[in-house]
Amino acid sequence: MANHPGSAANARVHHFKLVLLGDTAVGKSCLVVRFVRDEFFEFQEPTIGAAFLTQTVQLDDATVKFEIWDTAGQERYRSLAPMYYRGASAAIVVYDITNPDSFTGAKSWVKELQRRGDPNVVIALAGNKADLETRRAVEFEEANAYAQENGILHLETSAKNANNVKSLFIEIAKTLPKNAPQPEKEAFPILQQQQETRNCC
Amino acid sequence: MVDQTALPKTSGASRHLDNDAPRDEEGLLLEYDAIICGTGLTQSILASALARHGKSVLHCDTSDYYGELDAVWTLPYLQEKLGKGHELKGKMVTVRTDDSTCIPLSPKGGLQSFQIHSLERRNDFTVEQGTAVVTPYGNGTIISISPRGLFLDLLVSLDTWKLANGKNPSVHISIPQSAASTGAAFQKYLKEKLGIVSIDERDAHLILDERSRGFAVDATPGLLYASGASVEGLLKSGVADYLEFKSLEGLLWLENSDSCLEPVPCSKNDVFASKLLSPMDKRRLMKFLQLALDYGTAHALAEEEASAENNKQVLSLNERYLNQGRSLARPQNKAVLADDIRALQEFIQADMKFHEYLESKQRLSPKLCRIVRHALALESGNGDWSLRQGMTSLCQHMQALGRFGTTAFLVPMYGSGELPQAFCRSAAVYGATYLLRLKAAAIATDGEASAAMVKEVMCRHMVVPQDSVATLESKSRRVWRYLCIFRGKVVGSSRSPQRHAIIVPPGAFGPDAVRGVLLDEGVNVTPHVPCGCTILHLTMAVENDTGIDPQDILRRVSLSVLSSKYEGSNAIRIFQVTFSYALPEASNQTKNVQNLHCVQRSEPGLSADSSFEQAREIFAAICPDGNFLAISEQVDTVVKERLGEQIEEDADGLVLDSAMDIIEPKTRESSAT
Repeated sequence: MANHPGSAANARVHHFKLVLLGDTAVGKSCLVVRFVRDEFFEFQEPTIGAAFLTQTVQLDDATVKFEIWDTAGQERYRSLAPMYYRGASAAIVVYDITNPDSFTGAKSWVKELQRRGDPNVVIALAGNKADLETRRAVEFEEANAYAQENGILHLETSAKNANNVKSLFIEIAKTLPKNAPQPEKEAFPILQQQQETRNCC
Repeated sequence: MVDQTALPKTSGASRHLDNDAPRDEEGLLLEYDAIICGTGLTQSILASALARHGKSVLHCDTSDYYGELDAVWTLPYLQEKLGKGHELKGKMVTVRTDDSTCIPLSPKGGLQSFQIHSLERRNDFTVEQGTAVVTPYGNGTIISISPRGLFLDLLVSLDTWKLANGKNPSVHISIPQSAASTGAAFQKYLKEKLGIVSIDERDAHLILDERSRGFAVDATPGLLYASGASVEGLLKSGVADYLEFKSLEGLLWLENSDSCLEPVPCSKNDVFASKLLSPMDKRRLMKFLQLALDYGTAHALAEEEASAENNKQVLSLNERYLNQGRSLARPQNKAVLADDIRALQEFIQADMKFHEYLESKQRLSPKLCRIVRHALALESGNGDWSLRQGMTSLCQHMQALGRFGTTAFLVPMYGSGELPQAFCRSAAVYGATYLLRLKAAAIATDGEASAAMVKEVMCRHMVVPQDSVATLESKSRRVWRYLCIFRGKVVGSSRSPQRHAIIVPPGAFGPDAVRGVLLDEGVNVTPHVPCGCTILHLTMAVENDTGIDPQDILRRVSLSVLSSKYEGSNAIRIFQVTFSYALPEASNQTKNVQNLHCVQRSEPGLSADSSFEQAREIFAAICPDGNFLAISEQVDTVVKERLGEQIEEDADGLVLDSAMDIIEPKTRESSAT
């Protein structure tokens, strides 16, 4: 999908960790599946085995590669570990426009992020299931006002008809600081050791 | 394709991964393969291993955070919630297996014996002659405070300003004696009326109030050996993807209250450079370490041969050497005669004590013997170690050297309390259900739940922390923890990272050994502030009722560590807390219940490796033919069905990406030249 870097001189790939937050059954996984694989299932089965998915967004001046973390169901009984959103550059807080409780839930997630997440985290509030207009219970204006008050992005999306899903990620990609100096990278992940070279005497 | 119907019933359990498994109104399964209580590191590793093997897992904890006694707390949490004795809210769950007793579980779970003994924050900062202060006019130093008539005359030199003659300007401030006659009133007047406070106080406020969310305080700090069970477990389970590490900067030795922190010689270079040892000691130590490495190699080789059928890759002896800590195991170092190893093995067979061997067979001096026992082999516990135990532990340490950085240890970023959280996430990714703030009330093994119990969940296996079922005996051991936050540094220069382990041998301050860890903002456990700020963790396991005062011992150790500072530093302690928890023994009540597994906290060592070993043991009891932390074939099939080819494509993409990352800077450089 994305152009490969190297074609343009400034097409540097920027890697960002993005986390999804929000109450159960607001369509977090559906948003990701729509964005990453352009698919939709009415009855999305729990995502098993996907620690994180990756997807690239091509902007005019840069390539942004998202490492997207899903909650793996840990939000269900309010049991999400802080490690989940630690170090995240961006967060999509999802609510269901047909469920006012999920909007309340979203607000508390935003608060939690502001309290314990990275101070510079880019937060996007996504009102999902926008295709169910007839059952709308959260007004766009209300959510939008809340988002503006808190200085966060806001979009209404539909994973079902793909409306605004790509735009959501593109908006986030545009907002992320791409020339912030990378902090001194002294910390390292543990990687599988390569077979030792066999050039012994 | 695996035909589900053809599989035996027990291994067909991954049905919970589909949506059609029977669930109650809250979404919980009616029956789980395993219910695990407590999110301590051992249980979390176990949950990940079981979930990846395809077992249905319900993992719960009474607290509202992950990790139990392996947790990482924020400073406000420690001060407010734990300091005031925690209140737990939540519903009760009963768990049934099929036998005939009812075992009540402690409502505090694994925190049953947790107790805070003292928690203080320093607030006795004073301003006097010579104090560096913050004033409304800039930073300065108090030159003098002198009475003049009815006034106190305060002379402050302002360091942030410079006059044309190169001197600092100073301000005179007159304070009516009537307003501030006594010391306390004078201090109050300075602070409130004049806005003059000491820099120490300002920094303490900055660290403990404004930036306190930058703290990650480990309940039980643990490091990881750079090779061995823990690193293998992290890689095999994929949990390594969630975490980052830095290598420990050094291992320090605190001989007694009169001495300073001294680096422990681990590698060959260290041994040569060490000021701790005499030339004779150095020669004997080098010889002994070489023997230990050869022993370790021979030992590992024998083990590998024993399991050769299962292990496809048997490394040759030569490759083994190369894989070991390079600092010691260079091929040109002549191998110790096979005779010495044979003799060592005979002494092991004869059940010799470790210290006896070091003293009489290796003829190490008493001091060197102590260093080898406590800093290299990391001997702990209340009895003398056997030679086998000592050599095994020493080899583990030596083999982990030279992998990353200068020591054998890795420090997890954001605190070791990230480890249980990462393993729990890995378990959740493979279908485990997580419930915090939940009190498991009792284990009913006869199917008769009492009316008071709110809910029942069935399971085949039950894992609980020993603490929640054991009645504490006075004989049992207790872990005492002390931690303090101080401004400044104690090791190296003013810019050196504080990321060191401290070994205090038994007998130095008290009868028991003390382990310490110094950590700073380099591993994101303290806030990033200009004045620098470090956490000192001390840990000691003590037998109950022996008449010693663990709090006093730990405080004296901390004072010695803080006064061991480099020249010109001033390490100022601004916060300290002491707490403790028990190490309960296995009780008979639980031993005889089938399928009930108790997690026994072992004495905390420097490394967290023992948790991996215990988790592996319990896993083997639940899944005798399972591969610990590996994905079972069934789960793999489900994952592939769900994710299609995504994962493989992605792996290719990642390889390509990293290749591009390597090529890109190079092409840039070449185009620039």
